[in-house]
Amino acid sequence: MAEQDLKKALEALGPDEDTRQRMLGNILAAHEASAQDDTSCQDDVSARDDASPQGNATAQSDAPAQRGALSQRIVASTQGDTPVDTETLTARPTRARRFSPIRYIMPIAACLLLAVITPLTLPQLAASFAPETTSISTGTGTGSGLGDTTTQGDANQPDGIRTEPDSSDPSQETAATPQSMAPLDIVVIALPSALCLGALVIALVGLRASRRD
Amino acid sequence: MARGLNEQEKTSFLALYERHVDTVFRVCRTYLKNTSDTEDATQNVFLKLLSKPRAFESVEHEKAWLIRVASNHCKDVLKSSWNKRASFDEIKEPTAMDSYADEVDEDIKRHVMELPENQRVCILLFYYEGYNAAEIASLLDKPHSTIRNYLSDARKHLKMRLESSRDG
Repeated sequence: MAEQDLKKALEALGPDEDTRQRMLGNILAAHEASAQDDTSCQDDVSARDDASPQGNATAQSDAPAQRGALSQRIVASTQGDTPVDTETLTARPTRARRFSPIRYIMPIAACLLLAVITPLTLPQLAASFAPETTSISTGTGTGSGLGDTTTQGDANQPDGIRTEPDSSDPSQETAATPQSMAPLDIVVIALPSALCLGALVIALVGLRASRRD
Repeated sequence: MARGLNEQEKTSFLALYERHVDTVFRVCRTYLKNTSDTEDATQNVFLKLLSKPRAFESVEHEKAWLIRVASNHCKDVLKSSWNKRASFDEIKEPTAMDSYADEVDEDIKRHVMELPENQRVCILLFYYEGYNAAEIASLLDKPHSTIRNYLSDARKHLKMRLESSRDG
């Protein structure tokens, strides 16, 4: 294949004269239209300024002066020497908003996922960091394990003799562990759930607010 | 913010448009393949220039800027789902009425447009616009070696396809 053939073929991809002129007309028309839109917005601002009781500085015709005057008025109105023009301050650009389901679904899904996953994973995580004594917290051979220190059926002890727990024996301390674990469980399981639900509520409130805008 | 053009700005814009409209149109068409999308893209590229005028150091600089903007704009257009269905229906099959030269041109054009997107653009910029591989790499923001590979693959594909179409 000759390079010339390729070049000729590529040249044919270019526009013809009609297309060129049509595009130029469209470009200039679109630019004019956008320029006119901007001008009409500025005229609108200027008209509002003229209608105000103290619009002396805003009556000038050049656009930068109009913008400057508007900002001056807003500043002045906050200082109390000009009545607050609520229409000007609360005016919002009217722009068509497109509905985007992802914007609404994603935060809710993320919060729900967190609310479900966090309580399931955090206890295991906490258990892996917890001290060794917690692993034998269920206690063995001492009845209910709730501080019952009476020995049952010990053949070596005479009947009716109660043995007091030996505070120096470390193996006796494990009997009290289940009671001390309860607050930890509450912190590990309930707190993340509460936080996640709180986040969900905040997200929902935020979404309502953003829809109102 | 857009504002109306004065006479001097209009004259300089018209000169710039005449200089580069063909290049921008070809780049857009190489990406987008169909005429109506290409026209829209070309207009958008020049509108971008009009809405934010900038000073260029040279004609080459403004051409490079326009090619870059056109390329980015076309990539954005292609990302949009609406354009996924666009098909290449612009280049007609050669008919008996066409001369042999026209037939060859159409054949080459069709094979060029059947190349993958990156290879098409590289072929256009290298063979028609006269940029070398390093310049194309900088224009398309890709490594030099990648551009050389694109060009080499494109040549191979074109040669193979043209040979098979002539044999057939």
